[in-house]
Amino acid sequence: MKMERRNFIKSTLALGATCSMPMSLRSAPSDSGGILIHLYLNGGPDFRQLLVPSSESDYGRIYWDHRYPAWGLGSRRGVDALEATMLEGGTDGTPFFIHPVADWLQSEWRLGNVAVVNQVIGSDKRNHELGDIVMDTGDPESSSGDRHRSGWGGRLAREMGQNVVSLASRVRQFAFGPSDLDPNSHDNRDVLSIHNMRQFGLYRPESLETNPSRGGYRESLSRALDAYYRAKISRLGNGSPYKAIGDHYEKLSQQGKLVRERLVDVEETLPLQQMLSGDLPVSDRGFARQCANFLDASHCLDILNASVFSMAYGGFDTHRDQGDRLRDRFQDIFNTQGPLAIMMNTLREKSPELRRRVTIMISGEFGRQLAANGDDGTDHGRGNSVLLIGDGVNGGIYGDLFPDEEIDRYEIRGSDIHGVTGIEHVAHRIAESMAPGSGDRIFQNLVSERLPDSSVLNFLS
Amino acid sequence: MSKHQDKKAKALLAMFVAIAVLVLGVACGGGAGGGLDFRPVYSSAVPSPQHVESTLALQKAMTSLSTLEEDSWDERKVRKVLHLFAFGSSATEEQIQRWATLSPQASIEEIISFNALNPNISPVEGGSPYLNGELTELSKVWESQDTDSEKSRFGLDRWNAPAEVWLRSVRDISLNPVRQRIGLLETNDHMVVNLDASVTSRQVFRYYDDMMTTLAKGSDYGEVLNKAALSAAIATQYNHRENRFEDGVFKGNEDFAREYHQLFFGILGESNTSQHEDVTIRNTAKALTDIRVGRIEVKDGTVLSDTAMVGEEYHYPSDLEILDMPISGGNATEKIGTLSSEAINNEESLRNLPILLIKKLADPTPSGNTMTRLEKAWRDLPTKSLLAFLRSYATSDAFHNEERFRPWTILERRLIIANRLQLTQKERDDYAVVSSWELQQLENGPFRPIHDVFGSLKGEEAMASSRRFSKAWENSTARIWRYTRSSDEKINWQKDWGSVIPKSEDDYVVSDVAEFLWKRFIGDDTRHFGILERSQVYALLASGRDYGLRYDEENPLRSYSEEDLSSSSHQSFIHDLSVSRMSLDHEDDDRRRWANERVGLAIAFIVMTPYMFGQEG
Repeated sequence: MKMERRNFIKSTLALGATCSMPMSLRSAPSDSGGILIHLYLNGGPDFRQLLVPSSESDYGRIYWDHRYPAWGLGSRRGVDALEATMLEGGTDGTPFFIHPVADWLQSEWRLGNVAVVNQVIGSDKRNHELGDIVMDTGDPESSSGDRHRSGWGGRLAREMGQNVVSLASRVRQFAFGPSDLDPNSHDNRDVLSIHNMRQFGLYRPESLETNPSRGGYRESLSRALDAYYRAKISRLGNGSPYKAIGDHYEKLSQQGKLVRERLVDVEETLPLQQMLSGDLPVSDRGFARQCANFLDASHCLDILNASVFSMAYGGFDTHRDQGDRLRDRFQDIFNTQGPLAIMMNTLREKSPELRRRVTIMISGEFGRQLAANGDDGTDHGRGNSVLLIGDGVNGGIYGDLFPDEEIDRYEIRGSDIHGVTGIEHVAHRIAESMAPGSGDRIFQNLVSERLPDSSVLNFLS
Repeated sequence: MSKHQDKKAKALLAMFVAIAVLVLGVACGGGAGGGLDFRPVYSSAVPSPQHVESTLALQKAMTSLSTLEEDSWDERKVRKVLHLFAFGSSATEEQIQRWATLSPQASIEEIISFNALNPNISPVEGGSPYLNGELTELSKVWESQDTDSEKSRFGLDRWNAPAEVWLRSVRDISLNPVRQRIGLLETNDHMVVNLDASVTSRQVFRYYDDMMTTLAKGSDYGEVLNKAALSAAIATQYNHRENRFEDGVFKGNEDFAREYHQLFFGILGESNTSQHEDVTIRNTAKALTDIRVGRIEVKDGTVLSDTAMVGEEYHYPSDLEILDMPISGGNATEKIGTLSSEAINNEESLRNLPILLIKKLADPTPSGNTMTRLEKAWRDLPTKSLLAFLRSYATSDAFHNEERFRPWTILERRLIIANRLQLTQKERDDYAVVSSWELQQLENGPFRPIHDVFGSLKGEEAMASSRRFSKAWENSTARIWRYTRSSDEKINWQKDWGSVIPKSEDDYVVSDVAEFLWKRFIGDDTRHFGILERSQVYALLASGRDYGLRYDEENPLRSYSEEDLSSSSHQSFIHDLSVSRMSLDHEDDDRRRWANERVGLAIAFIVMTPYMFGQEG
C-alpha cells in the first residue's frame, strides 16, 4: 500500500481558518460528530479518466495505446499534447496525473484531504440496477429484486437516531431506513427529501397569520388539510402503505417552518445562485441546487437532525463521447469553479469547524472496462475506485491505482478492473467513524474474502 | 359537410402534404445508402384497424391467473382497472355500472384493448374525429389546427412534441386511454426512449406508433420487442447505428447489446455470467452491426430519419453464438429477428419478463406467490400475447389482491385527476390542468425519463418525495382555482357537475355527492372514507368552508380527532351538513356556479388525502 499524508498542511490551514472566522458566520449546530455526504455518480463513472497514469510508465504506455479514443483523440499522437495539460497528482509511490479540469481535486489532494481507495467492488455483475442496489444497500449478496430493502445510509442514520437528508432529485435506496415490520423492506420516516431548502414546507396563505378565520377558498383548504392531517397521521401506522404521506406532512409542516425561519437571514452563496439563474456556467443546474441546499442545510443541522446527506450526479454511462461527457461532469464536481468546490470552499471560509466534520464519499455502481470501445467511450466493468474528500481523511492512495497485472489484459476485449475490496467494508469503516460500534449491525454480510488487506481502510483519521 | 368531416378533410390534406414531403425527403436525402430499406409505407391516411380478436382462448391457457368469480366482480374492481389501465378514463357512471354487471372477461375485453380507437371505453357521438388515432396522425391534425401551425408545439419535429401529443391524447375523450397507458409502459419504462438522449421527436413518434400498432394486432411479444430493437429511435439512443465490422475488427459499443437482453427480455445471464458477458453480449453487439440511420429533409432542415436501414457491407458476416445457440443472417434484421424469436422463449426471459412488466405497471412488490403465478401464466401462453396476459391479470386475484399496492407517479396521479375532473372535451382543450412543463419540473415528463434507459420516475420514488407531496398540496391550496373553476364568460363555458352527479330523490344531497366524488377520484369504494374525511368534505360541499371554521368560528385552526368527531355534538353537526342540498341544477347562474365551485373544493380536498397517492389491490 502506498500512502501520502499532508496532515501538517491540513492542520495549519484549518487553524488559520478558525482564527479568521467571524462569530456571526458560525453554523448553528454545535454537535461535533462527522457529517457524510454520499455523492453517487450514476452510470458507472470512469475514474481511470480522472486519475491518469503517466505515458512514460509501463502502465501508462499501454493505457494510452488503448484509451486515447475515449479522450476524444483521433490518434495516439495527440497524447503528448493532452498530457501536457494534465495536473500533477501523486509524485511518490504511484505517480499519476489528474484530469485537466480537476484543479480543486488537485488542491485538496495536495492538502492531504483526498483518499483514493482502489479496486473496490460492489456487484460482480456489470448491470446498472444490481450495481446500484449493492452500492446502496452495502450488501454484496443483494439480488436484482432487492430494490425495496433499506440502504446503508438509512441504517446508519437510524443507528444515530437521526434523519438522512436527500438532496438528489429522487431519494436513492441508500437513504432509506429499515422497516420495523419487514427486514426486507424499507420505510422513509427518517428521510427528508429536499429540493429547495428555502421552499421546504407546505403552502399556507399569509392571510391566515393575521386572520385565522378568513373565509377564502385557499384559506379554507389550507385549514381543512392541515386539520385533517394532524388528526390523520396517528391513523397511518407502520402497516399502512400510506404512512409515507403522513410522514411528509409531519416533516414539512414542522421542520419546514423552522428551516425557512432560520434561513431568512442567511445569505445565499452568490456563485451558486448565479449558476441557478444561468448567469454562471454549470453543466448540471440540479447539482448546483444540491450544493446550495447543503450550504443552507449546514445552518439547520439541529432542525434537520441529520449527519448523512445523499447527493447524486447522473450521466456517467459513457459508452460514447466519453471525453466531452466526463470533462463537463468533472468540471462540475472537481473544478474550483464547480458547485462542489464552491460549496466546500464556502464552508471552509464561513464555517470551518463544520467543514472539518464533512467527508464526501464519491462512488458509482461500477467502473468501466480498461480499454476504449469502438465508439469513443468505454463499456461496463466491475471494479472501481472510491474517492473520499474531507479534512478528516487520511489523504493518499489505498490499494493499487494501476495494477501491473492489468497491463497484459488491455489487449483482451472486455477486460476490467479486478474488484478486491468489497464496498461494504469501505462503508463499514465510514459508519464506524460516525457511530462507533454500529458497523456490524449496519452491514451483516461482511466476509473476509472481500477484504484481503485491511490496511486499505485506513483512509479516515 | 359536418364539423367532424371538415376536420377529417383538413387533416387528410395536411397529411398528404406531409407524406409528399417525407417521400421527397427520403428520395433526396435518404443518406444511408446501400442495404435493405425496411421503411413501412406510411399509413396514417388509412383508418385505424380495429382488432377485435377475442383473447379468451389464450386466457384459458393461463390457469394460474384464473378469472375471479362473477359474483365478486363489482363496481369497485371496475374502477380499479380503469384507474390503473386507463388513467381513470372518461368513463361515465353508467358505463362503470354496466361493466360491473357483465362477466369479468366480457367487461375486460371491452375495456382493455390496444386499438387507438375503442368506442367501448371512449364512445363519441358521431364517431371519432380522427382517422386512426396514432400519435403521428394526432400530431399532424393538432398542428394544423393551431392558429400558428409553424410554431405549434404538436409538430412532428418540435423538441417536446411527443410529450405534448401524448398528454393531449390521454385527455381526449374520443381516444383510447388504455393504449396510451400501455404505450407509456412500453416506451417510458420498459423499452425506453429518451428525448434527452439524442433521440429525435420524429423517431419517438414512429417508435411509439409502431410498437402500439404491433401490439394491437395481437402479435407475439417477441415480434414487438424485435421491432423496437431494430428501430431508428433505439439505434440512435444507444448509438449502435455506429457499430460496424470493418477490416476484420468490430468497432462500436456494447451498450444496447447488454440492454437488449436485460431490459427488453429480462435476460441477465445469471446461470453463466462469464458466458453472458464474454460471448452473448459481445456477439450481440456484432449482430447489431451496420444499422444505419440517415438524415432526411424536413421543412426546417434535416433531421435523423425515423426509420433504420440495414446493410451488409459493415455487418458481421458469419454466424454468431448468442444465448448458447448459433444465430445466422446476412444483416442485422435477419440476425436480430432470429435472436428475438429465441430470446422470448429463453428460460430466464420466461422467468423474469412477466414479473418485470407487472412490477412496472401494477405491483412493484409482488409476493412470491404472485410472482410464481405470473411466471407460470406467461409460460403457459402458447403465443406471447401481451393483450391476453394483461386481460387475464386484470381479472385475476393477483391484481385484485389486498397485498398489492401501487403508488402513483406524479404523471399518473395528475392524469387520473384531470380525467375525472374535466367533464367535456371543450374544458379539456381550453384548460390543460396537466402541463408537460410542470411535469418536467417534477422530473416526470413523458419521454424524458429520469432514469434514462431504465425508465421514468417510479411510483415508489414519487411517494418518497416530500417535494412532490408539497407540490400536490400547493395545487390543492394555492392553485385551488384548478379545481373550482366553474365558468368562463369569454368562451361561454360553465361547469356542470349536475350533469354527471346522480340525484337522490330529486335532490343533490351532500352525503351522496360526497360518496360519488370519493369513488370517482379515489377509484375505490368508500372503505377509507371515514369520519375525518367526511367531516371536511361535507363541510366544503355544504358551505364552501372547512369543517373547523364551520364548527367553531372562534377556533378555526383546531384539529378534531376521530374520537372528538364521535361526540354527539359533532355527530349532530356532521349530520346536518350531510343532509344539506346542493344547487347544482338551480336556475340562478350564480347559485349554480357556487355549487359547482363547492364540488371543486371537495375534490381539491379528496385528491390531497393519502388515498389519492396510490392504489390498493
